[in-house]
Amino acid sequence: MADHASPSTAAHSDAHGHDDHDWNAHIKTYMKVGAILFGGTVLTVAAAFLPIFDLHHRAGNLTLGLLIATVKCTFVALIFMHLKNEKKLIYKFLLFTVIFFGVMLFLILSAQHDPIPLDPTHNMVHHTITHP
Amino acid sequence: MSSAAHADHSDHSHDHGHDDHHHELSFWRKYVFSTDHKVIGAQYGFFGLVFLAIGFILMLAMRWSIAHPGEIMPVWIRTLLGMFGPGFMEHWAPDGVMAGELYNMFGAMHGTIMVFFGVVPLGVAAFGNFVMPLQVGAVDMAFPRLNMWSFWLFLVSGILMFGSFFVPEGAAQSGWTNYSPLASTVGAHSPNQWVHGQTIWLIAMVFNISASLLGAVNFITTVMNLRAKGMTWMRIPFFSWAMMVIAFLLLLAFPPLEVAALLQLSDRVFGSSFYLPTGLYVNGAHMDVSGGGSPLLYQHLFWFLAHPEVYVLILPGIAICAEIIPANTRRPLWGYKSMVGGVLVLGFLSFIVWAHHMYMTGMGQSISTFFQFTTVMISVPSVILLTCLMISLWGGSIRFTVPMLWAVAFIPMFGFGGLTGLPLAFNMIDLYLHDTYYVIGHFHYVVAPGTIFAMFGGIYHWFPKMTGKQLNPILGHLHFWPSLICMNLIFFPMMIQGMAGFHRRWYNGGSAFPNTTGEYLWMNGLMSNAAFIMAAAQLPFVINFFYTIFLGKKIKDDNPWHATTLEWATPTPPPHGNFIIEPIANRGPYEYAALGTTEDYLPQWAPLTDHERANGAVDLPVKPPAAPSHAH
Amino acid sequence: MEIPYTVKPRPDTGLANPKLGIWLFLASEVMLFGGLFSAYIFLRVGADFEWPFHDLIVWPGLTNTFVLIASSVTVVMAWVSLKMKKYGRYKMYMSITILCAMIFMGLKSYEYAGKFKHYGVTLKDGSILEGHLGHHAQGDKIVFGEVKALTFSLTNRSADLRVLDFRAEKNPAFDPHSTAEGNHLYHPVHGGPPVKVRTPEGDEVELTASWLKAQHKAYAEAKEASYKFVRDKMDAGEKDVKLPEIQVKNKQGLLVKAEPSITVEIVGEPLLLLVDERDLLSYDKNTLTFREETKAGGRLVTDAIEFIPDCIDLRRAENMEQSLAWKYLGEDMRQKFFTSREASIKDLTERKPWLFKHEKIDPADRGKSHGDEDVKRYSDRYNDEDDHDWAHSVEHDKVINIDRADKRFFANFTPRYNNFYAIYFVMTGLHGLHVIGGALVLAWFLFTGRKMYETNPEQLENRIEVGGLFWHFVDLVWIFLFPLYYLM
Repeated sequence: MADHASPSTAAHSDAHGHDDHDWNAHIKTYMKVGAILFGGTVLTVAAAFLPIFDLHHRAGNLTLGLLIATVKCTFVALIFMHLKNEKKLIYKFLLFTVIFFGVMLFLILSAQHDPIPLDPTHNMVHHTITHP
Repeated sequence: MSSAAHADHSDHSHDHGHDDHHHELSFWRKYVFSTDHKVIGAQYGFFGLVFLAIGFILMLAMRWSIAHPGEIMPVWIRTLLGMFGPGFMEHWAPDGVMAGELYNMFGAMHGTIMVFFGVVPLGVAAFGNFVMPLQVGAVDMAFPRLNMWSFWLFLVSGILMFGSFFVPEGAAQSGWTNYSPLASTVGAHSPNQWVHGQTIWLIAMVFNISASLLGAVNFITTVMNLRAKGMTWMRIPFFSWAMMVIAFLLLLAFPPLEVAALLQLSDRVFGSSFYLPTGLYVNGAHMDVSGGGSPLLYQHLFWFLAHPEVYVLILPGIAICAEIIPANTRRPLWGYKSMVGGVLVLGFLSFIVWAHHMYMTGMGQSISTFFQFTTVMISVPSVILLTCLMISLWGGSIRFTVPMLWAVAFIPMFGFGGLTGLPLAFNMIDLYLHDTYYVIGHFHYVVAPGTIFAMFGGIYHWFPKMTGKQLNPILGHLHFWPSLICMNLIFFPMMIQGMAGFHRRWYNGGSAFPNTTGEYLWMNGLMSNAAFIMAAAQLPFVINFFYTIFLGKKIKDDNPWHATTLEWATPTPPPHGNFIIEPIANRGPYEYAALGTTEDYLPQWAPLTDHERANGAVDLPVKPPAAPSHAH
Repeated sequence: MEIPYTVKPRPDTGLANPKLGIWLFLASEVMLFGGLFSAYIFLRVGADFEWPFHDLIVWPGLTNTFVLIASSVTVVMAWVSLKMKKYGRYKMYMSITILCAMIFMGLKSYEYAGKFKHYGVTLKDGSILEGHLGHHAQGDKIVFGEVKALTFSLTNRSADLRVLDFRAEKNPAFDPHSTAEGNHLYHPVHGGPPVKVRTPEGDEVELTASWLKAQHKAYAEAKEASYKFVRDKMDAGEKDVKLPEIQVKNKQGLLVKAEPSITVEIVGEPLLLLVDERDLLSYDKNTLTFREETKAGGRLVTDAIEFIPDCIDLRRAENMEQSLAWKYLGEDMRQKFFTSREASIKDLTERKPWLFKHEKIDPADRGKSHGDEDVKRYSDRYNDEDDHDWAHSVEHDKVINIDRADKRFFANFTPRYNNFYAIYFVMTGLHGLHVIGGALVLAWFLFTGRKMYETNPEQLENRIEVGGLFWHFVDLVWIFLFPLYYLM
């Protein structure tokens, strides 16, 4: 796929004409991705009703559904958003964005799951002090 | 942006740039709805200073209440508070005595205004907008119209925030952090939530955040894409590096605060329970909400921004000093590369330390330990930055100009602020010191004698470039020395009081608990008087500022400090489009005392010296200067 | 001077300014929605209530997903068409994209509207009744009649004449046999006639905002005068000055003690008020106290919640057998509920519950599945023509009047209902704003692009690409929103 953004091909596409075939290939790719996205959506719905892994907490369905969504998202980002042909610079700061997003998500959650346990003796001590 | 500006420079560039160029623009487009980065920088700077003054006045009134609880405010403070108009004080302090509510309101708004409307607009938006494009050799910001939008969004947010004082129930009163559930439930009984100060705070913040985001996109694009020829990454002046890192912090850390604000807004006006736990009682009554939320969620989202925000506050200070110090020691910035590395690492680490503000919330040991570890780690790049600045002084032939005074004072003051932060990084010690005056002292040392000193230095340093006039050095000294002494008299006793257990939100300064605070109560008077004297010490600056703008003498030199970075290559003040010559960077940004030149400095734009050519440097291809066309 | 690289990419970064800018903006958008997703997960993991599951109807969400994906394809096709210099095709694809955006928002508002009309009452014992408001009489409003006296606070600055906005009257056209929309026993009076009152001093005045303002002003001036007395003394160096009594001049010109509130009697017809409970600080049989501390004295007509239930949810009930729900729904319904419950528990052990939800419920019962074995849904029709008795009904398809004393929490399915709906509305609402914003920008490009196409086609291509990037991002967010809210 031609990188329309890079200087060389940008200059190239100025002299269109012979490019048309190339663009038709693009169109085919886009259509394929569109089909994958539609299919993926159907799969997501199916995944929500599949009896997998864990009946009660639906963790299996959740994981599967989000996995399919991630795959769909990857296709959109790489092909529709041309990330596949993009410059390293964009990757660099997107990488940091993703890291910070992950950090936000997981540190907040792990802070939630690490509470200081209540000390049962604490109240008793308090009690004896207030009622001498 | 036509080439008319281009043609104009050819004849007479040095005197009044503003009058000569682009006559096609009306007054409104030129000074009000301007897209020129320099005008926008000046607008930000002006409003930043105004908000700093407002925040300062709020603090003066609070300091009165702390030192003289229950006593009637003196006439001069009441006069200063007259800025709120006649009805305001009549309503909130009819007897002239500051009530607790008013103190809370001023406390919350002092923090908010200083951080989001004073220091960041001045340090980042004003200096960044004015200096950074010049330093990287750009004709303007990458998206000038977006830049204008950013300023106007900021102004709207500022007006909203200030306007919130005048709604019936007054401005936000829950501290500048506005923690839920207090901030979600305060005024829950007012008939219209939309006109409650607490709600307006949130709306104003959403505007402010949007302005910052637009600005951040602009800053980064400008540094990355609009650099001049030869301005490779390692030739970008440290100030511009820091601005880019700050822009990244704003870009990636502000959105979670926007989320926090939106969710709190929803709690307040749509009755949701994002931050309200089940079974919440407020004022002895069960809150009529569904519950099931968590106040900690707010704190996480808030501090996810607010810790990087600390570095947004302090990095402009360091960055400004990194420009002032080499220019006044006549010596290259020591460790430029490690400083760039340091600022990048600092930026990264600042995203993973936020929960050290939350040790008191009942997080367990392992997660606290994690944050303790990263917090201590982040002191390493901070120390690198500060040490490089300090070593830059070594062996220099220092010129103690007024900007240099501020910059030199910045180093120990910021160092003190940073070092007093170390104990707070430790979980165990923080449990004791949390919410005491120790914390107040610590972060004020970082931002008040730290960043604000550096920003004053920056104002004195770049004022000639902005206006073509030099601020008076005598008044500058009169401004600096009392400020330095008073700053320390205000904030040092806070450390002592804090360790004695003074809580930070007492409107009566602890006089209600004489048994525990009695021994240290006298310090309240000392600190407050120092604050009042410091208010007087700002008068020379105000006089100097306006006197110089209107009556000051024009300077002859485009580069009065004999500095090396590209902003000094422009005419003074820089015209629309900035440069007459094509800006190029032939070498690194801090070539003082370089070999192969008779001067003690070698600007980035100076032609290659024989020495450099001998070392393999090659001339950059430069467009021939535009033919002077007088026909326009 | 021209700003460089507005169209052509800069050689060393390989990017033109707009593209670099939009990617940076998208990075911040990732953090914005990232923050919201974090909040979603945090709230869901920490929820102390049963996180709703399959509560939202799937088909509108699914349709919207297809619509957005289609629009993503068309926007990229529009860009390719421009690259291929086919302006007509570009216009067509762009129009389809914008049409998709409109369909999306249309479906979204349909979904939102349904939720605003759907209510849930949590009773004191944790039983939940879901359904719709009865529209016979008062719905969820409190009816308060024979209001003869009003008391306005003079210290509360937000005190105004808002109380008059709640005026209502009995509807002469009310038909107890009709279920038509808008057929209420009481209906609010918008902008009713001015109200005459008698002041404590015996004057008859018209109740106007300026009159109330004058009262406020008189009191504030009186207060200020006494504070000024203190301030002057203290400025003069006196200590421990006592605040003198706040006094105003009365009609005879004598100074009397100023009261912090003023009570007026209504001259003529007493008022009837139709008030939302949330507008009140408190109320009892004879007094309503509004949030701005205005008090209305009269008689409480009814404060029952008129409700047409269509679903019982006893997951959180303290005791299902003795649930408060049966007080309103009766013995028949109780038995039906337990028969069905036993059947579904048995079914659950034998069959796949994930696929069985819809069939589990008696086919005669319409409505969607609730996805929990303890939930039983029954007819939501309101078909009893004869019913206009608002006493506690024992028949399942009648209007019931829920005693406010039995209510723990009551809301429609808005952000107030619970945190699932709260984060649902915030996230989809913010996403909807992005859709609107993106569509507006794309429409702008569509309608004003011709000239640029002729003068600087490469810039138009860049613009469409940049707009498209934003549009894909909006699509991308929805790809995650759909399963998280509708399916999981």
